[in-house]
This record gives sequence, structure tokens and C-alpha cells, in this order.
Amino acid sequence: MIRRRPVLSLLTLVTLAFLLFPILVVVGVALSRGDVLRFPPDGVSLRWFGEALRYQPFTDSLGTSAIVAGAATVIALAVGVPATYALHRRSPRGRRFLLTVFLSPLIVPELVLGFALFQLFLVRAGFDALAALIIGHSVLLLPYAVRVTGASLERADPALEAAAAGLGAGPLRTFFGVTLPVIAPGVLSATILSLLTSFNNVPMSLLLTSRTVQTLPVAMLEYVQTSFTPMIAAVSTLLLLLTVAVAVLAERLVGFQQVFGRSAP
Amino acid sequence: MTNVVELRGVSQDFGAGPVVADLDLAVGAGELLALLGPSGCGKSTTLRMIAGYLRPTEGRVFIRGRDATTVAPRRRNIGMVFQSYALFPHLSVAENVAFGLRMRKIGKPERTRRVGEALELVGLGELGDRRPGQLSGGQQQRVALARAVVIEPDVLLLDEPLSNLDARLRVQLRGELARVQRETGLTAVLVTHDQEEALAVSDRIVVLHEGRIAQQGTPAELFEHPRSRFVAQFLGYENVLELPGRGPVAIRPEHVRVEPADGAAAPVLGPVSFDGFVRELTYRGTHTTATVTVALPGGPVSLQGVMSGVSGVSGADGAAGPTLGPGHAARVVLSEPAIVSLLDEPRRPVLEENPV
Repeated sequence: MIRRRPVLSLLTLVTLAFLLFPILVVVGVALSRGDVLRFPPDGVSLRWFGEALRYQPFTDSLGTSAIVAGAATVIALAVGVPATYALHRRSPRGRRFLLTVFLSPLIVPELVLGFALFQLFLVRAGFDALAALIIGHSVLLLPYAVRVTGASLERADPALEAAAAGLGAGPLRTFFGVTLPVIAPGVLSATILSLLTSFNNVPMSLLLTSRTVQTLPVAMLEYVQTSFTPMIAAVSTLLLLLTVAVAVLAERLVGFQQVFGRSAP
Repeated sequence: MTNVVELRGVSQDFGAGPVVADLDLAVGAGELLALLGPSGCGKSTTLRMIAGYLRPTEGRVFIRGRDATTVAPRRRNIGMVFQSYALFPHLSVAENVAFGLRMRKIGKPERTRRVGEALELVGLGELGDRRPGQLSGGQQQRVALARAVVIEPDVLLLDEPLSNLDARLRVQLRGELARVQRETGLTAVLVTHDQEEALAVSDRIVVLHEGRIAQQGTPAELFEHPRSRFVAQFLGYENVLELPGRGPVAIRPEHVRVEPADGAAAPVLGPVSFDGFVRELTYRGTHTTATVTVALPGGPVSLQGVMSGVSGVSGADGAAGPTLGPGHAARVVLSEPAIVSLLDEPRRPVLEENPV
């Protein structure tokens, strides 16, 4: 390969290095034994990982992030999947308009949306920050639920639902017994995308957090503004590992499509 | 005979003119009725109204004498086979077939027995544990057929069931389809655009044209006596012409002989023949057809016929006589018994000069 296409191989290597080098630096710094963010690190130890896991603002915000990501994903899917189903299978009046509305959180700048929700939930309605975060993230994730499951629905044969109805299945039975299993890979992708998007979100979370409730990225941001120890690199590395783990899991679950034996690719 | 399905004055209009217009249709018990027509003739729409997926804009649908016009598909007891098979990809073959029985709350022992019987019936007794994705198109459609018949539906609805299969398999599976229908004694409606398929399997054919019945009858009645230009041409009567003194007639190309014009005048008595010029030759393997333009009292008409004396194997009897090419003068001879009068076509007022 390298011998046959030297230029292409070189470019690939350079690109890989460009992408991986910063990550290597972060991981390297995280393994430092010293007190200062510096590369190459002063010696090797897992000291800062321990510190990070004991640092309460991080552990608390990790819990908040998990709750927010989980709850917002569930809400976005619970609203988005039936909405997509109705939009694709019932083709109601104003279908295009409704689709645009569902996808609009992708277009509206997040800071604008975050500020609007901040005004509405935190200032006016007096919601606590956790509820505001969950609702805000749900809105943010809705487009993923609608678009990714919508793509699955478009590939699925509408005659499947007609067949189920003809055989005597009611609408709920048809949805849960036929439609949902058929679009399951799409729902799974939407879930993973949603979890990652929520977990990594900064702009909206920034506006919807309070002094006591913050998400992990916000806590990290706050930390680097005041301190400059390798602990931040350690947290970043942990976050990176988590993301990679989810990605690997997703990759594994692609075999899940084979398990489900989807006839239409 | 009691009618299992009856449509009375049924129309369907999606907003751009009627797709089905004031249709009356009756399907007798145990009958296999084919709805035949080109795409857009309203045949699938009619089937979807029988199934209940579409509510007629006007008219009533009766199933076993009960007015089912507003009854949802799931309460109609129909067995539908779709062009796309529509098997549930996440369920095994046996689970697919069992789906309708489950919905009918039939207990497991009976369910297992009936699923087994249905799979045996379509020749797939061994494949119950497979997923639909692991089967060929023909096998998938057999599963779909088993899934539809296992619930003992009032009527079996077949929506272009063979259109997704290749030609050889199509012929094989249509025989299976007819056998299953016969053995189960189910009343069936088959929607197809393939005249050969309709002729081969059905007891009765209804030809639809622009949402109306163009003609109906047994396959033989229809094939031998098409009554209109549309039905004749749809059934392969390429030649439709106005015969002086006889009005509109149709004849199949295989009953028309094209031979070199010998210069002598066409015989006044005997076979019906015309002189004209060859426009085009088409090699068909077993024979060669020629398109010949002849002048008739109503104007020039193009007729298709089989070239005489030219075998499919080139050069086999090259000495049989002069060969014809485009532009050559030729004589077209129509086989008298094969000429079919189109009784529903309006006769053009023809000057009765010299009746043949």
C-alpha cells in the first residue's frame, strides 16, 4: 500500500498525526506526576486521575451530566419518534412546515435558544436548574430523534404496517410490534447521538446552570479559568475514554442489524 | 351463488378526477377473479378498497353480505399478499405466519399446527426458523401467501404478487398460487397487469380501463372475443382495423401472413388480403414480423404480420423466394377465422362501395 501510493499514504499519515497529536498531548499531560500542565509531562503517574475522581465539583457535575443526558434523550425520543412516525406515515397537512419546526433547533444558534429558555424557565417560571437543563437539552436533541429515525422510516416498507393491520393488529400493536422493531437501528443511532451531544454540550448548559447544578463540561470550563493543573487533562482523558467506549459499543451494535435480519439494507 | 365480495357503485377520487368510477363488481365464493389492466387503471385502488385501506368516495363495499364500507382492515378478515412481500423482517418465517393467528388469540398448540400446515401448503415446511432476509424472493412470497391463507380469510387479496420476481420464477409461482387457492377453496382477487398471468390462473377476468370495467368474462371468452379496441390491444391483438363491410375488427399478428406482392391483383374471393408496403421488419427468433402499411377506405393503416417463407434460422431456406425489405411491395393476408369483430367499438360511417 505504502509503496504503491506513496503520496496518498504520506497525506494520510500527516492527517492522522494532525488529528491524534493533540489527543496524545492531553493523555500525556494527564499522566504527569508534576503540578503544572506541561508537555512532555514530568514523570508518569495516575495521580491526577485519582485527584479528578475525588474532586467534588467534577463528581457532582458528572452525575448531573448523566442525569441530564439520560432524561433528555428519553424525552426527545418519546416526543420525536411518534412525531416522526405521524409525519412520515400519516402525511398530515403542513407536513413540511412541521418537519422544519422539529429540525429548527439545529439552525437556531444554541446561545439564542439557551438564553430564551433561561429567560423562560429560570427567570420567569422559577424552574430549578436541573429541570431547565433537561428541558433545554430535550429541545436540542429533538432534531436527532426526528431526523435519524425518520431516515429509518423512509427506508422501511409502508406495506409492513398495512400487512399488520390486515392481519388484525391495532395501531398500538402495529407500532410496537412491527414499526418500532424495524426502525430499531435508527432509534439506537439516535439514542447514541443524543447521549453524546447532550454530554458534550457547552453553550446551552452554560446558560441553564446554577451555582449548585452544573454539567461536567461547564465544571471543567470553570476549573480551567482558575486552576492550571494536569487534573483537567485527566478529566478530559476520562471523558475521551467514555466517548470511545460508546463509539465502540455502537460499532458492536451494528451487528445488531444482522441479528434483526433486516431484509432491506 | 352467494357473492363473497360485492362492490356497488364504488368510486374513488383523490382530487384529480375519479380513479375508480361507479364500479359494480361481484366475486363469487371460491372464485379467483383477476383485475387486469395497465398501471393507473384503478385495479390496485379497487383492491385497497376491498381490503379497507381506502374508503370509497362513493358507493358501498359488502363482504359476505355485510356492509363493510366503514370497517377497518383489521376487522375485515382479509388475507393480503403485497407486491413487496411485506414480511416482518424481525420475525422468523413461522412467527410471520403466526402473526394473524396471534391477533386472533388462537392458543399455542393450534397455532403451531396451523402454521406448520400453511408452510407445508406452500412447500416451505423446513424453513420456519429462518428470517425473511435469508430467503429468496420466491420463497418470501410463498411465506407471505402462507401468512395470508393461514387465518382462513373471507377473501384472499393478491396485489401484483409476482411482479417483483423474474420471468421464470413468475410462471412457476403463479401455478403454485392457483394450486393453493384451489386447495384452500378461498375466494381470491388477483390484481395484475400481466394478461398472460390473468389468463393462466383466473376463473374470471375483469379488464379495467380508466376506472371502469372495459370487459369481463372467462379467460377464453375474453381472449377469443375482445369487444373493444382497448381490450383487444391489451390482450395482444396488435392489429385493429376497419374492414370494409364488417366494421371494426381485430386480429393477432400471428394470424396475418405477409408475402411478397406477385403483381397480380388481390383475389376478390377467398382470404381477406391487402396490398401495401413494408415499413419495418423485426426478428423474433422463431419468425420475423413485418409492419406493412396498407391503404384502406378509412385511410392508411399499419398491420403487423408474420413473414411467410422466412424461417428464424437465417439462410435455412434462402431459396424460398424473394426476400422482403423495407419499402418493398407486399401482400398482407388475414386468416379469416381469426378475425374478431369488436362489437363495442362504434362503426365508422363507411361508404359501402365494394364490399369484400
